[in-house]
Amino acid sequence: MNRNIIRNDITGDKIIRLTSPSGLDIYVCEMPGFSSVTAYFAARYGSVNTCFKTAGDSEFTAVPEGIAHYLEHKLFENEDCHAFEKYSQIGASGNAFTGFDITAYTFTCSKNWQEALRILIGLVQTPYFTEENVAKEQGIIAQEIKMGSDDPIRKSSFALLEAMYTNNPVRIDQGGTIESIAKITPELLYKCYDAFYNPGNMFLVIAGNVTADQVEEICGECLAPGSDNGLETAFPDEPDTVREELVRLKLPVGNTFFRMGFKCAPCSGKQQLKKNITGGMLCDLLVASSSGFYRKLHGDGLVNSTFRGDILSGNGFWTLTLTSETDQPEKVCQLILEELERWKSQGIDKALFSSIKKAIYGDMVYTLNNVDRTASLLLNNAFLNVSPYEDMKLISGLTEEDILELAGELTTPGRSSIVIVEGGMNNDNS
Amino acid sequence: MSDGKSTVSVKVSEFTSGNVGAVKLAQLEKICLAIFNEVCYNRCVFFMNGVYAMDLNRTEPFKGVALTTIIDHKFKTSCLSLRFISKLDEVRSTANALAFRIISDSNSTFPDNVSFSSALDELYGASVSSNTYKGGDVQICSIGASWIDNKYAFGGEDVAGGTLDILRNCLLSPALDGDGFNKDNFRLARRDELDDINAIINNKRSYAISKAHSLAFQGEPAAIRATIKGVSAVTPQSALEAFRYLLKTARVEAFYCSSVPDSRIESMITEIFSASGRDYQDDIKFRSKSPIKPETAYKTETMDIRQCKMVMTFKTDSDDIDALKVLSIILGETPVSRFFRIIREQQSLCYYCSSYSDNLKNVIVADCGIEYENISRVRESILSQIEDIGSGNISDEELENAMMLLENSFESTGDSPGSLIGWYFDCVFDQSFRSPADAIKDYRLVNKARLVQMARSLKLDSVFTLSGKEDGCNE
Repeated sequence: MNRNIIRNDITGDKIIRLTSPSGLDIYVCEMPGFSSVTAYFAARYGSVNTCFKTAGDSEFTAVPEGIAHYLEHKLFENEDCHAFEKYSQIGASGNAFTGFDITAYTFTCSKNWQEALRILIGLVQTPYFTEENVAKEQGIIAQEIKMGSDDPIRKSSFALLEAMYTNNPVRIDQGGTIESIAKITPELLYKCYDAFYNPGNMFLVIAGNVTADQVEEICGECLAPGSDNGLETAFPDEPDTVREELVRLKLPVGNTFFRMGFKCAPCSGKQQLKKNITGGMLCDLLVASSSGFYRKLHGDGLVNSTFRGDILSGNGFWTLTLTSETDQPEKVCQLILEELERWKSQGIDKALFSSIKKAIYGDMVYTLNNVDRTASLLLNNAFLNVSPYEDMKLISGLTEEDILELAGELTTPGRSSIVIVEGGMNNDNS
Repeated sequence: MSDGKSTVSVKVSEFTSGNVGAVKLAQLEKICLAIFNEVCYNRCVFFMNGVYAMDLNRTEPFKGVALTTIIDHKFKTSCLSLRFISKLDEVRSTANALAFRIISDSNSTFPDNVSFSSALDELYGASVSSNTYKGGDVQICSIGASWIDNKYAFGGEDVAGGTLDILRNCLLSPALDGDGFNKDNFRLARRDELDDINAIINNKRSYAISKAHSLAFQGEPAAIRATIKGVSAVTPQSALEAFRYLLKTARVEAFYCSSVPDSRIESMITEIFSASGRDYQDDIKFRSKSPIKPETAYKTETMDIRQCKMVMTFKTDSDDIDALKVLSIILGETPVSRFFRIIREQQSLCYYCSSYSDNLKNVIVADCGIEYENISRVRESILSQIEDIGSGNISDEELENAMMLLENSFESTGDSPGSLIGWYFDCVFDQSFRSPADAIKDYRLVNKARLVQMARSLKLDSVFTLSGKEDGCNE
């Protein structure tokens, strides 16, 4: 395998990048002194990939919503046993998640990591779908969908995406719907698996009490060969503006809250990472406890400690969301827009900008001090095809102009939607 | 427990970099742990694969105030946590919670949240935070700070010193208005606390568990929870008085975890508690078995939801808490546990069905998210799994899987300052200072006979169900 060493000159850490003959990138972070190991084996495949073709197909295939998540559930089963049983026999914990454009399988353990890595590679590379085991999963996933629909945070998040996006599948819950998962068959699952679970479309990351030599040996022994299958994905055209500006929901919640989402131009790779970091900083300038804007709103009783911001970005979408519990959601949203406009004319708080940069750097040191967080960092950056240490470089180079440019994009007319969730439900704690 | 005056130390520097034979290491660990248990471990050194891994030191500078220092060279960050343990009390516990919210957000030098947070941001995002929670029949109020080590500060600042100063002032010199906390800070903290109480309902699973606790521990301190009425009754003065009372009377466990020793920690602890006029009564009861109800109690609430939640609380009279934990793992703590394997995977009755044990109250709690029409079936399935184990049906594989899970989990304890502190704080509650390695040995002694006995001793105490309005349930 090809081997590159990526160094972090500030903290002294290093990552080893291996590239297998089949095109799979493997990132290894050796963390001497730590006992545990966390690994992810991931495919660049998620719920938004509902239309695709490979070199052997004459036409694009449209598949039911929620199929990527369904496939993730089913990969844990093979002909003789469930992967959970194999992990359990060696004391490891296995799990997986499906995002909008990624599916990742993971384990954590502190003993027998070599065997756990073999199980991880084996489960992802050995699909086993039958009419019977596919049908059995429908009841379980239907319960998962129902549980999600009882979660006001999740429900309002998707209501916001639905209000912002007209056509992009990001507006659909990753789990799909009870109706859409009923259309999933073993044949469709194999078709998706063959298209997206190809080494060139995947990567593996591992951090903790490991050595790159051992990882290379196990991967060399277990990884299946693969070749470029000419995968193409298709997305419907999406307008720049939002579909709906205001949505109101009534749900069983204790306090009224809002979600305000800004729809921005999507990007990829290093640009996406930079925009995510810029967006995170912009959120901090508004919601951090050290922000004067937060202090004013909090002091006036307009927001509480739930005031926060999030970035969601991926294939064909980029959003920044602000949320808080409040009795006056419309007023808070208006004040947010006014604050962004004020920045454009008066600039941002430079001292705050500088101290938040230091805080973000400090947070990176925490990440590199923790096996799970390091593995997550490797996963996120490997997905974007950028160096695991790129964040530190981008943070130090971030300027006020970057923030103002993004603020300009957020305040362009027609780019924001608001979801207001009203509760009025009292529990008996009074 | 030690009065803090005895001093025992073990010199092991000759082993710190060389290869130590397994037998020699085991002997050394045994010596260290004996010291650790019998004289409240003044100093122990632990190894991993024959290499120096960690230095643990505990002193008790004041009656009821202990400082545990954990030095582990691999860490890039440090933390100091002070945990105040007191009896749960309807009025005082609510005031304590508010006080800790306030003191972790401001002090006399940085009297408002913005200046306080800005100072921490300048220290590379150092944090000061608090948390208040219940453990059995006691309340734990914790405040702590976390910071990156000075060598990572590119500006050459003394990050540790700056953060410790802030934390010190939070405890010694909070922002005040006359004889109470600063009125503005108090007003904001109280509003956030009230909002948190209202928001409990948002997460249906944790809401159901909280209601199940109230039902199971009715009439016991463990059932006390913050209420709108209770929080509304607290004043800036009563919150400050509650805080000062904790400084004076609470059992305090302080933990410092870092790659580097720092003498300022001990001085700071001495300064804080010298000024508090300590009057500690050693009467905290860490474990309080919950009495089993003569008849199983059932309670149902309805809400506008699509998936029902059911929480079953089982109680035991047995003191075999290691067996309680292993039994809970076999029943419902992993994806190969019986609840997941049988009720979810084989019977497709739910998305989740899991369990956890609480050794402070001697209970196992099973909770699940299910269709209304499956409630009876799931309840019977859960009961039949416990009955099955009680009749002796436990495979070697499920027992070994549980042991492997514990071993893996315990071995990673040393991987973060938070988990190390969590481990040694739990030891205070267990009143048994055992290392993760010794805990594994103890759990390995749990056999099928002990599990059968434990399963037979479990009694279904109460069942709480949260169901959808359309399911037609009545209160």
